[in-house]
Amino acid sequence: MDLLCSEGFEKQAYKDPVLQKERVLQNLLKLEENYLPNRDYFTNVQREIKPFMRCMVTNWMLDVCHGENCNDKVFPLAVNYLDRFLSMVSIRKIRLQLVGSVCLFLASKLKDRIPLTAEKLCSWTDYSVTCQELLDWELLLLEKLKWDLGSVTPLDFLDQILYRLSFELKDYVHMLKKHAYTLIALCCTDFQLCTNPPSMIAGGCILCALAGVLPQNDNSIAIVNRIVQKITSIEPDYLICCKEQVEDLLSKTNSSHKIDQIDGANGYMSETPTDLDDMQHLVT
Amino acid sequence: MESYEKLVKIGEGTYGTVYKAVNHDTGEIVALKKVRIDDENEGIPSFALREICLLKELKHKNIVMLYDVIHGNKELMIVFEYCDQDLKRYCDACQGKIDPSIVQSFTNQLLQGLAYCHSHHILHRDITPQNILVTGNGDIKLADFGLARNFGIPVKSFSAEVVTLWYRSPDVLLGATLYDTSIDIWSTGCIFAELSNGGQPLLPGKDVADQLKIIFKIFGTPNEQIWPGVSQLMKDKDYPSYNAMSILHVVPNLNQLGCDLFQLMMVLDPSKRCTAEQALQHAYFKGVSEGYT
Repeated sequence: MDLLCSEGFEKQAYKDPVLQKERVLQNLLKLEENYLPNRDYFTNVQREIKPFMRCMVTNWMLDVCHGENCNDKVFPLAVNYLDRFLSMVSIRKIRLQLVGSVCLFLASKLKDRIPLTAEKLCSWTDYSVTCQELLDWELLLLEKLKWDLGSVTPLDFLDQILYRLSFELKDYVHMLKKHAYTLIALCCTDFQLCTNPPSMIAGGCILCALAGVLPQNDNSIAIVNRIVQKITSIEPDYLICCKEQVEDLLSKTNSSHKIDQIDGANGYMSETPTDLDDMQHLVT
Repeated sequence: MESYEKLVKIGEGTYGTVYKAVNHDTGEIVALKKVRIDDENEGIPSFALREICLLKELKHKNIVMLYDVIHGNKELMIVFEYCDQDLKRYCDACQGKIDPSIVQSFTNQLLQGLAYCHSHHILHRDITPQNILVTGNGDIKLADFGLARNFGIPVKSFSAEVVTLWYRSPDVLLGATLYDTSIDIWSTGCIFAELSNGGQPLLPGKDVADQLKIIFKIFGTPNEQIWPGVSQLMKDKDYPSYNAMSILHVVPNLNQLGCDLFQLMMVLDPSKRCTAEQALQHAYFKGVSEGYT
């Protein structure tokens, strides 16, 4: 979470030394544990919900956030609510999009200047979710999440880490931030990655983004690697592993996009549909 | 809902009415904040959600504790720990005289609460005597986080209907659009002075222009030398040029160290204002007592 109050949307980040201080980072690291989902919820809690359905609903949620120009923080936050809720409550698959909508509804109320309205969200579901359902389930989610919506997400660490890298990477920070943000959003759609602590996901995404931004063999990669490890106190092996997971996910996504394009011509169904239409077939 | 019984109305928050109530199951006295859900089509109001969410995160002896949230028909009840009175009422009852050790203790506790908020990435944004609670033991609790935020909401959405101007920092008054923890320090400095002056508000402006005039009269009209970038903020209007007053006339009851701390908190340029943690390290607080002794 950040503390910046800005009139416009495009204002440059304003650095407040107090906030960037060690204590804020330490508090975030301490808090992140409290908001991790149960990593076995597909086997232990849910009966109908499968990982591929989560992948679809989160991709749909991302589409809504892009389509409605939501604050960057809305999507990772909403996905965290989704996972925490699914860690506790077994739902039928026809309810999954409803739960996803409620998560967006809540996250947007916290982070957007003008929150998404119930009506708008329902229209994104093609009215398969009604406003009344949205409001009823809002209360159910709040109760189950114990009204605790201040989840720590990888985005909270992104600013913290980049701030500490700004000296080494002056010219790249802005681009790095954009890339890392996209990767973090991608990670949120992948359950396996989402079970990692947010600080590790942020670290992994920054390292992955860095490889794409910096010229090859640039020795600052090694330096950044060390700094990220130091900031997050994550074992080097875990961090590298997380970075590789992100890279795998990225290449899988890229290739599935290619398949999707070919599919269009051949009428062949790809295995992980990311389309709203495809999703509705499965969910309803 | 049924286990709480409202006893008496104790005030109006930024939104919603606050009651003193008793929990029949435990006999405990609590404060109940009733929030009406006006727009039924949008569910829980976002400002209530934000305050609840912030207070869930903040657990500190100088921040009012959130016990529970109860959803009823068209209303939301937020259950808080009960405090006897707010700082405004406390000051009124003091009839112009507040003991220097109380001034020191209250200011210290306020800063501790703030330092904690700031280290959790949260700005209060609305520090006024009405939003500071005093318990019977002389403990200070920050309350009313209705405007507090760590979210990307612009200043203008609240500045029009904000309760009072008197504690607003010059940068915000001049229309600075980006601000940070320093705005809470300015408000706290105003309250520090108010306490030391026996509850007399330091900067009781009538409107934004008047508020700035009063500030400049005391602290001097800023210029590029003392506050780089200020001419940009002041370019649309002419402000009379004042020299800073002697601090001894502003806070006559503070000792040398108190005056020094006060000045560090009231620097016009927000980037040079001290932080809550720096203020707490100041020699003025040496030997401070917690609450009443």
